[in-house]
Order: sequence, then structure tokens, then C-alpha cells
Amino acid sequence: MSEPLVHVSDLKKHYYEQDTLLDRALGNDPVAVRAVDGVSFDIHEGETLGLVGESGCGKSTLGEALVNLETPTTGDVTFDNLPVYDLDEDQEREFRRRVQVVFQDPYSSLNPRMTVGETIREPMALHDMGTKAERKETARELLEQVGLDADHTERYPHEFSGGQRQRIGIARALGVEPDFIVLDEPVSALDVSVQAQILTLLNDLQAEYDLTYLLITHDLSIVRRISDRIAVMYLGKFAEIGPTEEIFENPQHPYTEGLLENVPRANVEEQYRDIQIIAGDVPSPRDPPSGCRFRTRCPEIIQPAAFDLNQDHWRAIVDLKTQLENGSLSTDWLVSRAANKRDDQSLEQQLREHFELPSTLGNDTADAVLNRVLSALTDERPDDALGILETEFESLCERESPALEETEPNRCTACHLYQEDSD
Amino acid sequence: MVLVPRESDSADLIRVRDLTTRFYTEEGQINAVESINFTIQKGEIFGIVGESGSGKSVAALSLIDLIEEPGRIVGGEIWYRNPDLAEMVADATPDAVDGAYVDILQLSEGGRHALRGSTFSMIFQDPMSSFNPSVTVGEQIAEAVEVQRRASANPRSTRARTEDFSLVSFLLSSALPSRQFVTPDSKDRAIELLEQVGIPDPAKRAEEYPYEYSGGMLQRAMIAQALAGEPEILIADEPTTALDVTIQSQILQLLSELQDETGLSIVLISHNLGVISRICDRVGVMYAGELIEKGDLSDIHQSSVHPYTQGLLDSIPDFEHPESSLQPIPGNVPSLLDSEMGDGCYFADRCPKAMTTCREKPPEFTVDGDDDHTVQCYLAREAYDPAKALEDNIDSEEPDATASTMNREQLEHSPVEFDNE
Repeated sequence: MSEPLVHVSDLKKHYYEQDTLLDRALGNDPVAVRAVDGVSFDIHEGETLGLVGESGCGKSTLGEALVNLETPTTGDVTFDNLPVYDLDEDQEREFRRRVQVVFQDPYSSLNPRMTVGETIREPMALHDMGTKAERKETARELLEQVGLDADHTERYPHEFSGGQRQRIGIARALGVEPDFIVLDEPVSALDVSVQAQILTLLNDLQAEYDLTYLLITHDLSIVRRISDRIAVMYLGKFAEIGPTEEIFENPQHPYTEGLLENVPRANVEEQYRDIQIIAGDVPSPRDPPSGCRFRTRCPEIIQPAAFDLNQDHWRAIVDLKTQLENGSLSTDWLVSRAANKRDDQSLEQQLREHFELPSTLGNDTADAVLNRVLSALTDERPDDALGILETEFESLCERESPALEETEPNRCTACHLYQEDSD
Repeated sequence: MVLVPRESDSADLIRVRDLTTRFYTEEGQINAVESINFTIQKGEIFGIVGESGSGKSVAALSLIDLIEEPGRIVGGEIWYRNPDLAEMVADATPDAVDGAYVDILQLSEGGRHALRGSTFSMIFQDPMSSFNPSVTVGEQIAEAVEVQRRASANPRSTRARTEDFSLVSFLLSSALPSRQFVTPDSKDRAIELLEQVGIPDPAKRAEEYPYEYSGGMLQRAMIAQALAGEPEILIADEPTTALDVTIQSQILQLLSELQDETGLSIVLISHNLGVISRICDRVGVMYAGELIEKGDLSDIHQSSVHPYTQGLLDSIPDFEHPESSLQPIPGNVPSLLDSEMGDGCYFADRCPKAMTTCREKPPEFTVDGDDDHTVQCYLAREAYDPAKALEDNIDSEEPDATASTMNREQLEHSPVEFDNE
């Protein structure tokens, strides 16, 4: 394969909280928000890489770091073999021309006091492209190219609908003849019928100008339409990266699987589809979980080698543990439960019911451990209960962070289930 | 066209007839909702789907009587089935009563106000901006519980139903705990409600402020607040649009579980046909202020008649069959300015099957004799005849920018600016 156009190696971007002079004087340690926490990948010329993830997973930060709008904490990006964070002035100028961004919100990314023509011509003027008359002509051509009327150059942004404004944003990016465009949620502010129009336009433009796209989005149905490869991001790291069709047909990482399964389908059978709902919220990037970052929500979290429990029961035990860890199962909660308990039900039974734990796990050792945990809880000693759980029921997924490893040609997954050394 | 309420059909909880809501702005009159008819049955989830600016939110706000200036409900009837209420208001306003049904638009303002919370309740798109950031979540829910408790204890008085936030009342309530608006009972009820919507450790979370909640948790809290008055109808306006897909699934599951457990009726408004398909029983499609087609989920998906409904379905990427290409609907949502709206079918200029007959407004037809599947399109009566095609069909790519965006903005902004009660 040819040299990649964009090469990213171990990119990290941490933001620091409590990092003011006052905090230092008071001796507060800065808290790192790990927005992007070590990602490496390539983008090849002419391809579209879809970057998918839920809000707060770091995908926009990654996009901004790629085009040097954010300075990363560590890591390197090369664009056409030039180091993006170490360019001299001329190279920087050239880089800024060859790389463009189309932003999410077409309402705030256009200057309301500039006409559409001025908006499109400004980047060309900054890069000294053509004479004034030529630029005027180019702007008219570009407007037609993106499906608007060439005579609209004298209009202002407020006269256009959202989809039309997004077209103007695309025309502005195209004016300087870029090679690489970062599309940051280009259609999420638009209606479905307009989304389809813009996606078709982006596809056509790519074919015509041989563009390379990084498409950042939370909407999986969009990436499937126009991406060649997909990277799935969760809490600052890649869960999986590979060719679009393979990932959609056969997702490997349980997170990817969950994302795909949870997209609502617009058809009649939707109500009868069996969906594995991923419980809980995305953990805070200030204090990401140990080991695999998805383990707090993962339905397929690996059991200790000694047991062979029903996976749902195992998941229930892990949920109990997660709630003890993050403090949502507190002594107060136990006290209030004990105070309100129904006469026919012991606190232990209530706990089992609440966490959907069965009366027996079908394994004597496991049952003995669980009984110790529950009796610690009924004695209002949640810390002891957590201690027992941590020593007796420790999953590989908590202990070790899975590396992004090649599982099939051109396909990498960061999950212990697919790694050779896992049990 | 006006259907006479059928006495036998007692499952209808709400019958909306020719409901029309207009906004009177500086640019002119905007017909946001134009003569829509629909029913809501007890214990069903009714979906309203449409693009932005199609009037779906205004339709919902009209139902709960939350339209604000410069908007006004200018016509129509909303019949609500409640024998007790019918008996109560029969003497004062005999016109508003028909058997067990009451036309709530004919009730006095106080009477309509009393229905909010106890009959109708609403949740909004953005949970982050719907809560007061400086009051704990538990207290805000307890306040809703308290308002409903006071209202049902003393239905005639509207005083003392809202909390006063003046400095005097703050000092008084700090000094005298008995003067506090929320009572320990309502606080306990708030915790129960939080537990009902699946918030772990509700007693602790009730003491937290909205910023300490995630978006999904806050949407759950808003649902808890909406349930405070044990409403019969919950209106959910884009409840999952601001949320991620995994959280969206959780919220949809919660809504459908609540509906199962409590027998609540839900009106779910969404632009996402997938969301509608997951939990709704019946669907109405809105376009330019009109409910152009409604029917069972399968009517809409498999035997839709209106070309807009078909276009909407075709412009959604099919998750199971990605190879089928997208068919975007050309053009834009039309202007809702009264002066710019023609007399004919509003979709005609974007419609691939527009005929000369479409210059006149189509009435509501039933499809294949199925009373539950209705459509405002002549195609229900006659097949498309290319010979009669509308000749001056506007070129799809011709942008009619000015009017449509401005009106859309007004429509989107005006109804959002009220406080969440």
C-alpha cells in the first residue's frame, strides 16, 4: 500500500483542571481530563475514514489536533510526510491551504456580516490564489458546484436554510483546492431529507477532486454511506478500526456491537427486535476505569478463569461491584432499604432482586463468595463487600488494558476477547 | 369532513378536531398548525413525525395549551374523555360537554390550567436547559409533587400552587421550616419517582444539582418530574434527540415500560422515524403544519400513500440494506407564511406525482376503507396519471431560501421560550 497521507502516532490530548496559580499555591494537584488518550492510525489518499463515537469520547478533539487547531500533549501527526506540529512558516501556510475543516453548525460557522461571495473568496485571497476577478468567478462556479445558484454571491447567510448554509461551508473549504478535509459532524444539524442531499454532494465532490475525508460523527447510518473505513472511539481510545462493511457485518468489539444494535431502524419489525441495551453512562474521562475502558458497561466482560457462570449473572455481579466502586451503593442507601424493607423479604433478598442476582449461581465457590458479599452488605459494611469482590471476582478486563491488535487483515480491535493471550 | 364522535368507541382518550394554531408576527401570519385531526387512545403511544418547521412541536404545545404570544389557537376542538370533569363543568359550560367528553378549549383558563400535570404532562428535548441549575433535582421534583398535591386538595384555588422565590419568602422559610413549600412527604415521593425511572441511589442523587447528572440521567429525572401529577397523557417532545444512541435506547425502553406499568398514553414527537418505529403504535406524519397521513405503524411503513411519507422513508439510510441508494426529497420545507402559502397541496411543488388536481387542497381520505389510515392526498382516490402532471412544477434545486428559513427560525424559537413547570 502507498504511503499514508495522514499518519498519527500515539496522539494524546489531556486538558488540565485545577491548574491555576492559586491551585498551585494551595498545593492542589492538577486533574487531567484525558480527552484523547493514545491513538494511532493512518488515512490514505482518496479514502474516507469515519470516526464514530458518543459525545465526549474525544472525536472532535482528535479532529482538531489533526489539523493543528489544538496542540497535543504528546504524539505526532505527519501530513504528506511533513510533521504537522513542527512546520516552518511557508510549510505551515501550505498546510493550512491543503487541509480544510467543515464544521457542524452551519448557523454559527458563517460570518453573518459577510456575503456568501466574500465568505468563499476570503480563504482564496489569504492564500493569494488568482486575481480578484478570477476569485469572483471561482466563487460563482463553486456555488453552482455545491448546488446553489451562482447569482447568490451577494446574499447573506441568514437568507439560506441550514442545508444551504452547509453547502456554502463546503464551497468555502473547496475554494483553496485542499487535499484533505475534516468533516466535523457535517450533517447532524440538518433534517433527514437534507442530510441525504449533503452526503450525496460530499460523495460526488470526493470523486471529482480526489479528496481525502476524515468524517467525524456520532451517527452510524451516516458513516456507512460514505466511509471506506471506520474507527470506533470510546473514552479517548480506539475500540476498533477496520473496513466499513466488515465492521457493520461483523462487529468485534462489544461496544461497536452495542452501538450498531442500538440504532433505531425505521421499519415495522423494529418493535420486535431484540436489543441488548447497554446500561449506564459513559464514565468520566477524569478518572477512566482501569483496564478496558468499556468494562463498566460491557455485556461480554470476561469471567475469572475459575468460574463458568451464566453471563447475565456475571454481569449482575459486575454491576454490583461497579455501583460499590462509584459510591452509588452507599451505607445510606442500605440503611434506607433496611428501614423500608417489606416484612416478607429480607434485605439480602431485596438486594438480589435489585441487582437481578439469582438465588444460586450454579457454582459453589462463587455462591459462597457472593453470600459473603451480601452478608457484608446487610451488615452495612460496603467497603468490605467491595474488598471481597475485588479479590475473588477480578476480571481480566479490569486488570489489563487491551491493546489495539490486528485480528484480521486490515482490522484491529482492542478487546481481550480477540487477543491471543486471553483465556 | 368533521367526524362525529362515536359513542361506542370509548377507547379514545383525546379527540382532536380541526385544531388550528397561528402565529401573528411582524412578517405576517404563520399557519403553524392547520386544521389537524387525530385521536389518542388510552394506553397507546402515538408518534408524530416530521422535519423541523413542520409544526409538530406546536401541535403538541397546543394540546397542552402552552402556546405563547404571538401564537394563538384560533380554532378547533380538543375532546378529552373524563366523566367526572364532564359532570363538574356541565352546568357552567354546557356547550363544552358531550357525554363523557369535554372540549378543553372551551373551558375557562383556570380549568385548562388545572389539567396540566394531572392530565397532561410534558418532557422536552434538552434536559440540561429544562432544569433550574441552582436548585437540587430532588427539590424540583418535590415541588412538582407539591403543586399537584395542593391542586388536588383544593381544586378551586390556584393560589399557593407555585413557589415564591422572593427574598422574604427565602428568609421566612429558612427561619420557619413549616413555611417551606416542599414538605418531607413530597420529598419522599420525589425519591420514589426517581427510583421509578431507574436512577441508582435516588436518595443521594435527589440532593444533587443538575450539573452533577449526565444527560441521560437528567432526562430520566425530567420524566420523574412529569410523572409527579400521575398524568394520563405524557407528551414527549424529541425526548432523545440530545442523547447518544446507547442512552436513547435506555430512555425509549423506560418510556415503554412506564406505559406498560401505568397505562399512560404517550405522544412521542420525533424527527427520527427509527425512534418512532421502536415504540409507537400509531403514527401521524406532519408536513407544513398539516397532518398529511396517519395510521398504524405498518400502514405508514408498508402502505403509505402520500409521496411525502414515501420520500421521508426513502431518505433514511436503511441499516439492514445499505446498498439501496438514498432518494433525497428535493427542495426545502415551504414557507408557512400565510401570504405565501398557495391554495393547493403544500407538497405539490416538491412532489414527483403532482397532478393538476393538486392545485386544489386535498381533503382527508381514508385508505382502502380503513378508517384508521387516512391521508390528505388525491392518490388515495385515483392513481397517478402522467398525462395530468402539474407542468409548472418548480425545479427542485431552485432554493427558496429567504422565506423558508426565517419562518422556520421563528417557529422553532417562539415555542421554546417558556419555563418548564
